[in-house]
Amino acid sequence: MTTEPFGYPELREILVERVGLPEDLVSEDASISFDALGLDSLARVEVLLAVQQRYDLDVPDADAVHFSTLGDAIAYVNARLGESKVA
Amino acid sequence: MSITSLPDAGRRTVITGLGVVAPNGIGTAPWWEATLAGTSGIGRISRFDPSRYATRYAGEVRGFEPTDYLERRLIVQTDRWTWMGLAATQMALEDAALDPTAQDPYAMGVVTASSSGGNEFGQVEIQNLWGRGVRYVGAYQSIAWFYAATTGQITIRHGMKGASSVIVAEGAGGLQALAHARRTIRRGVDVVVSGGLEAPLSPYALTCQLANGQMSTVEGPSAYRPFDADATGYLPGEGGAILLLEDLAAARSRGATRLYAEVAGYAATHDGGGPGAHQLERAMSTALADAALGPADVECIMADGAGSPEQDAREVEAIHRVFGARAGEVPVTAPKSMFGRLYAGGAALDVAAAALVIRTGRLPPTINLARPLDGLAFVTTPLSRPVRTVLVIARGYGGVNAALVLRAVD
Repeated sequence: MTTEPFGYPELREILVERVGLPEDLVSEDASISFDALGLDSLARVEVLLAVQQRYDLDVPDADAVHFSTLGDAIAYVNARLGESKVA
Repeated sequence: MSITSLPDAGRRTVITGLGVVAPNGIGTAPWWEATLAGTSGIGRISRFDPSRYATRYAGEVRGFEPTDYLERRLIVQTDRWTWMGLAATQMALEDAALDPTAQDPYAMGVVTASSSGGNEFGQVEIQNLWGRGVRYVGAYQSIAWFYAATTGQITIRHGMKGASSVIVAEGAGGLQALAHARRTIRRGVDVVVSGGLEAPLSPYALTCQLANGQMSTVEGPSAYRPFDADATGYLPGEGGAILLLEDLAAARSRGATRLYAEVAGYAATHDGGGPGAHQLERAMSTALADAALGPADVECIMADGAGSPEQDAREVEAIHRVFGARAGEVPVTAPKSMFGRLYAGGAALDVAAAALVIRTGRLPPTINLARPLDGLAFVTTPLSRPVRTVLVIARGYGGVNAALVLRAVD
């Protein structure tokens, strides 16, 4: 569990560690889609689980739609982290 | 040609490529060389601390690096057993000079054997589940553990869309998978990746195996002594072999030059809980009849070698019943004395050895055989002679018997 913000370095680490992507494939471009990176549906679930585990969030299945591009994923996680701080 | 419902026994099945990952050698040539020399790969378990386990010795494949064969994307979603299977498949395809991208995808299938599936991957996830909570189990557990994972990943990696499956029959699985591959070829699929491997050395898997009461708890790497008067049980091991099987006519027409041997005959029986060697004898005789051969044609027996006094005695008796007066003359050997019992990998590796016996005329020895059981011609020192027909015997826990006849291709 961490209270750090969620950015490209954090997302890259998850993609490299848990999905096995080569580091240089994940550049800091919000428009890159998970499809373009070759992630199948199970890889997307693995990314969701990694986020849940590291940031102590519950991500409902319906929110998986937010994990379509790198930018969307980063925006979604930061919005959720912002919510839990406000309480 | 794609699969039909009626098998054509006129289609003959040959082995055209081998890939081996074994405790005494990674790669077919290093393994074969070590095996002919009687070099054991059995040692104290190093993958985890075995001191609290009743059996602490096994055939580990040391120095196996998945990154030598696979990209990380595939490594994170698969078990060690699948890594080995994919590596061995690569070796077999190269050995056969078969390029899957140049074949009709529906003309290629995969039939492997497995006994414990992705147990090491599961070990990590079970520890996550009970140590940290349900949230900490990864998504890839869903595809890494199950018995067909290696078959599945091979089909995906190489674009093989023909009839494929997995066989789970413990130590007999390797032969049963090859037999099912032969059935698949007879039904019209030209190429089948077959054989099997096992990676059963996780704490939880070892605990399951210890419960079968057949393992040796004697200290030291020589505790597994098949056919020795002082046998006390077996030692487990990891690894096995992938064999590329093809329809003979299709292999010839694509220009395949390495035709190791033909899968000429096969049979499987079950003890049904009864005592005695009758069903094992039946498997052997029926396999020979299936090959349209007789005991007089067999020039080498690759034995099951359970390593327990009762099971060894049964196998010796079955050989006597099948071979009669010749029982004391046909060379019998159990090279698995050098690597342990590999479950799904065991019989597959034995068939790879049998194919090389036919190809090279060199017979690997049985080690740790200080006081051999009476009456059979065990190979204990290097032996060279032309061999055209090998009988491979394999048994699985619970009373499964299988026998396969390998014959030189004319």
